[in-house]
Amino acid sequence: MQRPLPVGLMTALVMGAGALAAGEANPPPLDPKEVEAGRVVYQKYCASCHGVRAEGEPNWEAPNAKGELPAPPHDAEGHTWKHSDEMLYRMTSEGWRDPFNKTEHLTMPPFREQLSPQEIRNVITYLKTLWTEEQRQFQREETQVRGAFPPQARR
Amino acid sequence: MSGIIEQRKRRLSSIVRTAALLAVVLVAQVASASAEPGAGALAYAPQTETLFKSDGQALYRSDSGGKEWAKVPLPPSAKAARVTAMAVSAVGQGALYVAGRGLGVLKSTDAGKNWVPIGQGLPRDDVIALSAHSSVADTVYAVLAGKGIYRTEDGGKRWRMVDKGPQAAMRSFIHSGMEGSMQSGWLFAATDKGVYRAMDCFCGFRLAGSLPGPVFAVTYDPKQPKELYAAVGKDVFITANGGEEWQKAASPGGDVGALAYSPTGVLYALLADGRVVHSKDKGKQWE
Repeated sequence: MQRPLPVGLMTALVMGAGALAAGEANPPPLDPKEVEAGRVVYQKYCASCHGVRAEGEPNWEAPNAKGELPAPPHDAEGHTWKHSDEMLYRMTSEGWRDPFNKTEHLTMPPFREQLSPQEIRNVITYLKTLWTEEQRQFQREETQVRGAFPPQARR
Repeated sequence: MSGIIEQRKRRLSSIVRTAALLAVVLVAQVASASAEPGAGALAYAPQTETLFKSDGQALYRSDSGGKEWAKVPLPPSAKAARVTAMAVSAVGQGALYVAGRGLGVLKSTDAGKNWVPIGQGLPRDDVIALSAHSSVADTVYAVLAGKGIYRTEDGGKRWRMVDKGPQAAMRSFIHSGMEGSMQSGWLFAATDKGVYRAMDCFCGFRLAGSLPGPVFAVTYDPKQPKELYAAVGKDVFITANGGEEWQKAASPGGDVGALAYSPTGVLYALLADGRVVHSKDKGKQWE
């Protein structure tokens, strides 16, 4: 289990995540309490597949020997930052199966039975601290175009 | 003195030989470029039932399914450029987009009578491939050499880089409305290593099945989106399951540089010599 982030580093990440991006006025800062709560949820429920540092499974970009897609990273090396809040919430809550999966397994299991809407939101908020500011800006724009968190997960 | 003159003669002779050799190499390269299967482009506009083709030099249109062709003039600023990529939006006004190295992206909403440049927001004008979203009128994707894939969702006012693209050289690509995407569809890219597939949220390009060589073109049946066609040299391959398995169709009769599919069920192939042939039975027979 990863240790909690030092308060100073956490503040820097949260402030950095909320820093002004080129061409964007006052992007909303990430809530440090949500970030910390999300980190705890991530380590308990997500890290076993996506890695304790969100680095993903080895060779995650290609199907494995079973024909299943390995768990991708959630850090800046992955593609999580390309998705809107709505899509990330839906994926976490409902799960998803790659239509080209060679087994009947889900590619991503659903977590709606284990996690509350707020916990799902928290874990997504935590993931945002792992991205570059440019990636966070891209993700904010995707959220504006394609959808925000559903009502049950809004503050 | 005579030694110096001889030396100069030898040097001059060497320069002339080198220049002649360079000229031969350059002529060979130009001939090779014009015969390259991937130099042209093909697109079908369902709204007007118009077929557009580029032979790598000029742009043409046909309202007779490829029987007769008329040259489509480009703006004077594009005269020296080569059209090597083309896309038509299957929805809305059926906007026609053309692109090429040094051309940027041009858009026409009246089948080529008038053109508007829409690539100003791209970091460079070296566009090597172009695709229109299958169901969203103002969404267009452009591939920039050495950069990656850019997307506009407002008809070209703003472009954003969305992905680096597959780990292979892209020749052309299409957006497909095939089911199963986390977002709104899929991208299929023809590359030197085969056909690559990605959801249009850009979660990664992965090889779609196995093909026996570099792929120059890919297209699909919009009424049966799992059915795609890929051009490999003189052959066309068909898949019925989104690229998992491919079967060889009949050869259209030459190196295939581009493919297009009409919603009426006609598959068109642009050959390296500029001819366009078509098949009404999924590539079993070509006319």
